[in-house]
Amino acid sequence: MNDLLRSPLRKQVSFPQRFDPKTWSISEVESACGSAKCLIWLERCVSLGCKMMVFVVATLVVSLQSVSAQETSTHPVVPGFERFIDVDEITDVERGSLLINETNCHSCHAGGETAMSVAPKKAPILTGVGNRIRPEYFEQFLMDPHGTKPGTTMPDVLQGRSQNDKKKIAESIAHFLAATGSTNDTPPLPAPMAAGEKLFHSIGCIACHDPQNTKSSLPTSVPLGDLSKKYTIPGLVEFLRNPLAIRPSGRMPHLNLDDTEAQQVATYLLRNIKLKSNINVAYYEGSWDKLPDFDSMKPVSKASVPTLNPAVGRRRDNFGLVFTGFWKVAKAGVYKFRVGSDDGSRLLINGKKIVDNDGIHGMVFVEGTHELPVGVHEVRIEFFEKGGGEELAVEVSGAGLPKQSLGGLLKTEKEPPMPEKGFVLNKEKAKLGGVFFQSVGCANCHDLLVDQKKMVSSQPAAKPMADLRPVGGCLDGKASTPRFGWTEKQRRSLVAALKTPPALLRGGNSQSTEDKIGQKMMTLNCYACHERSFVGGVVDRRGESQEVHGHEKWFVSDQPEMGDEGRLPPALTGVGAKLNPAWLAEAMESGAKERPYMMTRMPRFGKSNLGELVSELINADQLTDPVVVEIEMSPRKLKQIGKAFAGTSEKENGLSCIKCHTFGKYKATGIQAISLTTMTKRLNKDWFQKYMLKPSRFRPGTRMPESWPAGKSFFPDVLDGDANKQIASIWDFLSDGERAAKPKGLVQVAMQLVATDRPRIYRNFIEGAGSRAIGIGYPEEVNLAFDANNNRLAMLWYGAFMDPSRHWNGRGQGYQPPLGDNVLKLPEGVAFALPAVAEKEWPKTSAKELGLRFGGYRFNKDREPIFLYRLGDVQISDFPEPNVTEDITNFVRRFEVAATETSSLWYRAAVGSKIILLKDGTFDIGGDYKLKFSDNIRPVVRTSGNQQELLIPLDLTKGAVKFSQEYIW
Amino acid sequence: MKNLMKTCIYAAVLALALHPLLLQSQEKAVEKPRGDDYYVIETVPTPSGVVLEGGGIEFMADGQIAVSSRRGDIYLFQDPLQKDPSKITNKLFQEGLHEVLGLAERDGWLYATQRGEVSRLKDLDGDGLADVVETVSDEWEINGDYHEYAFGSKFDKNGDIWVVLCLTGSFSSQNKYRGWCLRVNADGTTVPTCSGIRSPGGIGANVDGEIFYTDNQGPWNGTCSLKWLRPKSFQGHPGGNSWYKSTEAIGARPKDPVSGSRIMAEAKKIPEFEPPAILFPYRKMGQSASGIVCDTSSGKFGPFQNQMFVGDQTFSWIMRVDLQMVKGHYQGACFPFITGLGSGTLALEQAPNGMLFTGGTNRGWGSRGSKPYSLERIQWTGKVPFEVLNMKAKHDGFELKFTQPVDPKTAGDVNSYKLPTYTYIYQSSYGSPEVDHVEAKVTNASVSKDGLSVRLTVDKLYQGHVHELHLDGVLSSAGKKLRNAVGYYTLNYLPEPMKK
Repeated sequence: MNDLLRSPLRKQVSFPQRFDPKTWSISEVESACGSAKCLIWLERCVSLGCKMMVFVVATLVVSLQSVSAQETSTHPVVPGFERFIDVDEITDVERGSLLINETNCHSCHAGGETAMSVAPKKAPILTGVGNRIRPEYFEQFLMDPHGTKPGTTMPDVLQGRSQNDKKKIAESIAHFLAATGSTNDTPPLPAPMAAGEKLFHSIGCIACHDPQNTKSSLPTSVPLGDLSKKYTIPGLVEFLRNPLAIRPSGRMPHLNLDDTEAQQVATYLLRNIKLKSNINVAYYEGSWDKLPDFDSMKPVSKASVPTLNPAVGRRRDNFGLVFTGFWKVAKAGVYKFRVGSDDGSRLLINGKKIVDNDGIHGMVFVEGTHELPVGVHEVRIEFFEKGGGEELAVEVSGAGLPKQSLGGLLKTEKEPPMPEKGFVLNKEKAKLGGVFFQSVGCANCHDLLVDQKKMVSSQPAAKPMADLRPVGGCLDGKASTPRFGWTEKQRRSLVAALKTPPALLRGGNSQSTEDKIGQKMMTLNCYACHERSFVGGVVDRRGESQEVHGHEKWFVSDQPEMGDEGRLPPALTGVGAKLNPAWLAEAMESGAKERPYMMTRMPRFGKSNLGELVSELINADQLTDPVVVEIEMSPRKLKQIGKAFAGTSEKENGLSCIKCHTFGKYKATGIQAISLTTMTKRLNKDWFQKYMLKPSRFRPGTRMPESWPAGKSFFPDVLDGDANKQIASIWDFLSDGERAAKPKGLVQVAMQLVATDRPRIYRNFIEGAGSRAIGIGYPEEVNLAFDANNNRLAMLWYGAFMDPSRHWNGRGQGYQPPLGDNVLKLPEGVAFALPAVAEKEWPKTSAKELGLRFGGYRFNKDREPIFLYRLGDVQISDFPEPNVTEDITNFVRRFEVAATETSSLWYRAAVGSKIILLKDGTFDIGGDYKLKFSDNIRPVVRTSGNQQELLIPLDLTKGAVKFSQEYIW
Repeated sequence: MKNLMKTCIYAAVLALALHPLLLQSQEKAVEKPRGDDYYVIETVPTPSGVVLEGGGIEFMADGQIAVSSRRGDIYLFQDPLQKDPSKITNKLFQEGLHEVLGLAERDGWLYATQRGEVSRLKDLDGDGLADVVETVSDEWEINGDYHEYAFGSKFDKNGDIWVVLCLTGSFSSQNKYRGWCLRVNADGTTVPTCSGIRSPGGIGANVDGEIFYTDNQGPWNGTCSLKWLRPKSFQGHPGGNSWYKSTEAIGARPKDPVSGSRIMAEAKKIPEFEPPAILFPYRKMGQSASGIVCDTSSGKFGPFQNQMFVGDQTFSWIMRVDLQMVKGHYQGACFPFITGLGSGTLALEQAPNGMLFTGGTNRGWGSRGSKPYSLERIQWTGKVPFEVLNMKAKHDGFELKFTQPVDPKTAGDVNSYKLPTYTYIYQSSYGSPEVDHVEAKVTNASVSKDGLSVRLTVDKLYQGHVHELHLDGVLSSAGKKLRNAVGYYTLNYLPEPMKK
């Protein structure tokens, strides 16, 4: 049974999460088939009268008991069909109607009724397709659509012709389409590729497509095919920037990618593009502060490369590069150039300096413009790097050219020879192709404007839908009709739909609003992300957590503590009641990103593709018994009360909403849940009233607490203790949106720990002193931090002691630096070691591994701590004491080291670039500070690598050694 | 006219709100005791200007209580049991420690579990301030992650403090022994004892001296729970299991659980896995289980002697737990108990006179109690509430004992009971919904002669499920309704039938 669950069979079926058998134990799954559990579920479902729920349960049983052959995706992949392929409660008629809609049968077969409440899926608009898709791809795709792009819904329209004819037509149409534009290949660069990988796997692409960072294929995935054979990077960027402009039906929605993101995702998806070297580069070595005169120097080497990547030579520092190439400008105009570099660079065209970005600096961009006539222009980019990081980017845009890397436009020679195998546009073939485009049926489905004129099909009209007989033709694709590659199941569904009299297709007039919603969610694949009434949602391996499969990037949240609520798109059950009509429309039409913690975005589907979905959702989800609240109070006072609820003040009626919810730009102190300032923009007031009373009624499993348990308020004195009134006050307060007054507790006030009459202690995460830092602030206004992990004095500083607000507000994450000034940082690592361990090199291992253990501290009569630690039998007491002198207050440390057996120990008192013994007997440590020791010890300076250390050997054979060390800084 | 009325009301409200005397009296108001007929909650005054987010409470041999805070202070409270709580005084004992979540006294030393170590403190010169803070054990590691809390128990019979160590960020164990329980002897000897811990909220012993801790909903924890720290056991979250490489104290690393399974399905496969003794159904029985205390007052705190009380930070309440040993494992029932505490309940401690002390915080995690911190004491009024005293599983149902005799008619009617059951997905992602709902049917309810017990027989018991018993129909012989008419029994193991 276990193996069956993992078998390819599951590829075809997806279970709504709640029923996912993978989350059942083996024995439970075994007993599930036909057992009580399913029956119970069935009973529940039936009792709720929800057809959709029943078929999901039915699916579970059916799919576990039947085994059918795995089918490859040489058939048209329609996500809604795949998702509900084995669900008995969806009829073949419904499935067939979906296929008819999604393969756009109506574009050839006019008229006829459709069961769907969604407009048929239109074929891609091909105007300008020559700018996006490689010319070589068209012919290959036309010759073999399913072999070239598995899962495509485009049929083989040349089916039934001789191979010669087919080749001729395909070749001609390819030239025709290629002539609509021109492609420009640019290489996939590593930085956008890495960013694109992250985006692709987190923003929601993998809801419909296979993840690319694992080999496995997921159920219901829409195959992408070999994209690098199809698109150039600029071509795919154009598509991703606005998929709805090219595929207008919203089946591939618009993810609201900006230019940079589109570039990143396209680069990642086309990471397999390998370009020939098209830029000449000369590599120089030397150390400069400005660009040198490269022409007067001899390059170390020369080469040709595919990108303007500065990492071409053997050096990462102290080198220079000169890139040269020829740019064929097809359209005269003013071009804008943007040159970024670290360190300096300049751009020259035809010997003229266009952009100067010289000097030593980080990645800095400088812009310039230049007018260029049509023709071939010589481009030269000079670059140098002295030290640190190195980067170079040269972008061009203007005169109709979208922003892109100039490197991609260059050729190594002024008149490059024709590539041997490359595509060369033939105008005659293109002309012929235009005719074929109209005659073989392409124009039936694809919009294409040539010279502002739409291509019109000249193909004889196919039979109207109503006259189709459900046999032969496109259904089997054997004759000279288009071949879709239907599976047997798809064919059966189509036949069923075609056999059904038009009047019955919509089930009489009985199609319910919920059915219409379901059809739209199935068609637009909303179910890939959202559950509604127990159907759909992120399922299968798409929704699994990273620990299971070792991948990290699917449906994630930057707030893992929020659990699934933080990473999976919300259920749409009842959404029509939850969201106000304007926001509901806005979110679906234009997309949304209101949940800061959730990486997945709600994409833009476009208004025209949603039909009546907004009103259908509103009608279906209406809540009964609206909450009516009447409050006799000034609006300002009511908002004050609401504000107090949102805040954390215990004197008022604080419910601490801002602990978990962000408030506009202000972060919450705990998890970062959706901003309070957008609530009234998004929600219906009535829903808000009801949700606040019992959040789990609307979001089962939510972490949102019930602040009015059983409808009772914790604040009986506020607004008559009436929960509804109190909730209404919050709504009124939040309705001010971004302008709302700031609730108490929102802005963290800095704090300061002050030592007045005795030293102040602060044990916490102190930056520079480790996770077990012990900060001591002295009334003398000097401070220290002791590192109890390594038993070392870590820092000394003057003035203010510590600001504990980071650790004393919120959850207290992270390290806090000293608040004062003149922070002296002392050597890291342990300070004491046995000679045998430290002889060659001072040990880098942790104190615990070396046996050095922290023992705590005791206080003297002035409440000054004396630190205690030990190394085996050696006991060390370490008493730092403020030393008030006439001009400045320092620290003196008094050590007492005693042992019962160990004879000698080394103390490393300091580490610096150079340690010098000065005439007055003090040691200068790298010019940063001075040390003065008691007379009874003999410090030794040891050079170790490029540093020096001050070592103090301690002879423990004659009893305890006491010595002092003064810090002067 | 109506508008005029409104204006008048505004004016009146404004006048009231702005009245200086009223404002003052609000601020200075002494808090009245809260609670109900059976248990009274009183606020213990805390030092002014100090945020005392009670993380640990210890009743000391000299009659004082020591209270430690998340901010790292320890205060001693004098004469804490006196009648008028507003007269209780306090004094600083030590400041500046690192989030102390456990206090225990022994041989004149006060042991404090800080984030990074167990320390012991002592006042040597009698001035009331600790003069020495000695490190007893620092065998575990921490970094700057806020989640790496350490909770320390009281001393057990062997002189050990049990320390439970939260995972790094609650998912993984980036530092040594995160996700483990260590036993720290008063002499500093430290023994790794259990693995599999996620995010503890408290630790304490039951009446047998066995140590339990609360863990919180999250990865591998479908809901919050009370877990028995059986030595050498694995507590369910494999995130910290890499540290088996560092010790042989609890044997070899157990097999990793399979995500998406069920607790009892995995417990069958992993012998080291000790299933949670009590699951606290999420949102029904709190959202953040915290401090633990056992009622050892021999009846001074009501009829629930030897049962355990468990706090919940989010709900600002205390729950009651009745345990039962079945097949060598603890399991049992939990009930709501005391509600309406001032802040998010964290530490619990019982005084010898039965009085319960509780410290609270709502920093970082919100709570129903809206105060940022609180120190409260709870007293039993002497009136016995009508409650389910015990709920014990039998092979074919449950045996219920009540605190007062029941009305035989309602208690003997199967329709007075409802018994839905369900469990949680045992998975690596965060939390779980309730799953596998099945309703068990009460087929017989037989009332004992004295009216204090009811034996329920059911059509089937579901192993691994929480059995949520509703007794809304049951009345006492005096016609009273139950103070809490619901109990949640975590049925990990089915008891064998009694041998005849």
